[in-house]
Amino acid sequence: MPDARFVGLNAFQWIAMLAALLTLLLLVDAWAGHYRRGFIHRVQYAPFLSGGLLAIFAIAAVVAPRTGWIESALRVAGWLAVAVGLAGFCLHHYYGIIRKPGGYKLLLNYLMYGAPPLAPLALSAMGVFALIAAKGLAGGVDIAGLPIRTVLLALIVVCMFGAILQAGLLHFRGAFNNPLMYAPLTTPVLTALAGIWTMASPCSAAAIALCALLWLTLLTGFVGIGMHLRGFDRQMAGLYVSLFNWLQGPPAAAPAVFSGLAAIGLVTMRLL
Amino acid sequence: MTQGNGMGSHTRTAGANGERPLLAPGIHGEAVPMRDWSRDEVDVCVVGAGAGGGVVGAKLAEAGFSVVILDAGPHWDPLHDFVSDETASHKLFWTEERVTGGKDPVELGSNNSGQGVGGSTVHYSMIAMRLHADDFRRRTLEGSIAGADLQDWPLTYEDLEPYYEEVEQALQIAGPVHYPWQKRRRRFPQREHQLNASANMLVRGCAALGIPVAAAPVATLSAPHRDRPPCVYRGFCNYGCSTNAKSSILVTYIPRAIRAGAEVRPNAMVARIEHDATGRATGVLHFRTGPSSGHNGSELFRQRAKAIIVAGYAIETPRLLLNSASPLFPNGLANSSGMVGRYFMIHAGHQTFAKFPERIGQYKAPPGLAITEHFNRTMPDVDFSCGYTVEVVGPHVGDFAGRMSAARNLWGSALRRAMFDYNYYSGLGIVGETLPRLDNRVKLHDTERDRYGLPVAHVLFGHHENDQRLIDHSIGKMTEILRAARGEDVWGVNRTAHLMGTCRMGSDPNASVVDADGRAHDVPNLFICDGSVFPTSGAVNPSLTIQAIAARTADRVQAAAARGEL
Repeated sequence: MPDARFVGLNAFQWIAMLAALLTLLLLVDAWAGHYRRGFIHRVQYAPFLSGGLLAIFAIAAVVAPRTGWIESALRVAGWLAVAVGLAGFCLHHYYGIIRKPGGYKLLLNYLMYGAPPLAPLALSAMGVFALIAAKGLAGGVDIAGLPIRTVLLALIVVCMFGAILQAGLLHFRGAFNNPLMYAPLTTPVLTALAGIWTMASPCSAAAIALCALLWLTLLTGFVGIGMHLRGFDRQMAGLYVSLFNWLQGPPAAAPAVFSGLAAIGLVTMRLL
Repeated sequence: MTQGNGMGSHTRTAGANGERPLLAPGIHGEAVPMRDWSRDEVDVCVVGAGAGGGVVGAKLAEAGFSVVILDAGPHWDPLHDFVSDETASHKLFWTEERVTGGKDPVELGSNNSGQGVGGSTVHYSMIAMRLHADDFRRRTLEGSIAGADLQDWPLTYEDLEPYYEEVEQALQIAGPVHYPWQKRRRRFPQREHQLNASANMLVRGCAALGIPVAAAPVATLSAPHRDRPPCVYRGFCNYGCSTNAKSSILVTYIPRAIRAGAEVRPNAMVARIEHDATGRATGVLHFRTGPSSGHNGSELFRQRAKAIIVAGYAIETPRLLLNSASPLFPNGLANSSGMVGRYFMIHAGHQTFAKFPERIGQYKAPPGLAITEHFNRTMPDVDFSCGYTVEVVGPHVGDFAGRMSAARNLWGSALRRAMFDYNYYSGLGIVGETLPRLDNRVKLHDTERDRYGLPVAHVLFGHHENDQRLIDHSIGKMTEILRAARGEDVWGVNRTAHLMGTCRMGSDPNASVVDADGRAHDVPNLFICDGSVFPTSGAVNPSLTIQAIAARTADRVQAAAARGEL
């Protein structure tokens, strides 16, 4: 267990809590997407079951660390989230592209308007973060021979690139109608590159750069939430038909992924 | 005339001198102040506030010219005037009396016409396609065809390409990243729309047959743009878009024109163009009606102008020129060639429908979200020249009932029963090139008069045999596609779309009405920019080409003014 603490919580408690919060935010967007399609397949409820369990046990692990059954439950929930996310990725691909008329011939249209191809993998990523938190809370210091800190940084970099791809695709769909829509392609990219730099050659310069960029990315996410709220106010009738525009408009909570990943990165850099 | 010299001493701001201020409807239900040029000689008077007139008027106003844009219909307020009702939306069409005839009379007064500010762009299907380079040199490519008079355009695709880009940007056209039939082109300003069920049907059918297919470029927003929201796929595009997602001229160029100081004068029916003893146009005489004008159409008003631009589309433009006959121009203004009104063209618009096992809901979303231009070329193994584009169509229930009744001879309870399956039908339509024929024409009717006492247009049209062979081929292909998409019970209805020709552009003053700049050969300060200048029709929806020509005409007018020719 690391000694460094922030507001009374150690690194792995923070990671568990952030994973729980991010999972809940992801579920909000997943609900919007699946509700919009009317939950036509029962399997569309799976992420809510899996994500809900993950959030519950992650928060339980924060509140009651070193509780054996909670750590075991968190591990199970983590693996379940990984599996459900991977299954969701395959289903999104199958129903969102392969089963559509023309299939890959209209790939870009289906990537832009079909089920978001990378979104389910975010649940898998949260599952992995939860598993790492469980390992750390149980006193583990490495994973497959690699220091947990390095594994976390690598995971953050991978997730960051995934989020950049998904945001970039959807902002491309929106024709970058506001210059701030380029934001996910700037700070988070630099952050991911700084993460790679830090892993490849740990030095104070890289760490300082990474921390600074993580703070910027954290801010970018919050600004993104505000801009997305403004974005769906720019839809027809704006907030007056808020449920409709919540479902149609830019995903309100999605930019929080950047903030969440940045927060986990800061925890990793400062407390581990 | 020099650029901007009309904006000086005789400028009068709305409301000055104790007059009632001029207000125009804004696009969000507000009232927008507007200049009043009615008592001044303006630099440019534009007749018609549609696809051509709106663009040319706005560009010239922004360039500093004093501009008046007249339109025979009302200035629509999208939030209040555009109702989600098919029948109530007939007011958007030009329903004044016209006489149609010939071997194959063209149905008038509906989808191929418009009245009011924005013209037919307030109810068009928004498909925004460019002509291809080959379309500008049909005569060279096809040679002489007996019974037709194909001509090369005096413009090339390269001449028009920057203007296509300009209007695509202004209208924020939403189209595919890779457009299969125009690979070397700048990316559309907005991304293609998601496909509705009818578009999915076309994609499925084409994919099964190995026919290339793509999302259609359309003039409706797929993302917010300034103060306009993106499309919400209500599907009332052909009845006036009340959300302003549709990039009609009414919500794009007209507000620009007003902001730049132009006056847009609705309910102003132009009766004739006046000229001086030297043959230069001096202004227009028009009737004014409507409650906002305070007039009942019984008296003529004069709008003086240094240059006239006519953009009344392929029937009203030649009608106005012919109605403007004078001792100096006994056959009509700009008609020394006798070509005014000649070579009237339509697009073949045959539609084919099929019933599907799954619910389609063909009325949802813009009607033409997918297309294939695979047949838009002269094919090697067919018995006709030129080609056609296949597009998805989505008639609403009233229109569909009309088509079903006509095509299947259903009426009463039989029609009612058949209409229960409306939501399971989907259809395709073509935009097919028809050949220009001298005898297809618009002329003044000998006896019929409209409510202003003006001779009405007499439209004569007959298909060339090449047109009929093209239509027959398209019916076969559409049927194949519908069946490949799992459609059954296939039937079709013969229709036409779009109006072109009647004031064709060309280099020879004896065989054309205007030159490549849209400038009349006979009257140096008279321009035409609408579908009437097309020498050939092409096989794509014409609105974007009309707008591109208008954008170019605006530049040519500026250049002519700078040379002191106006």
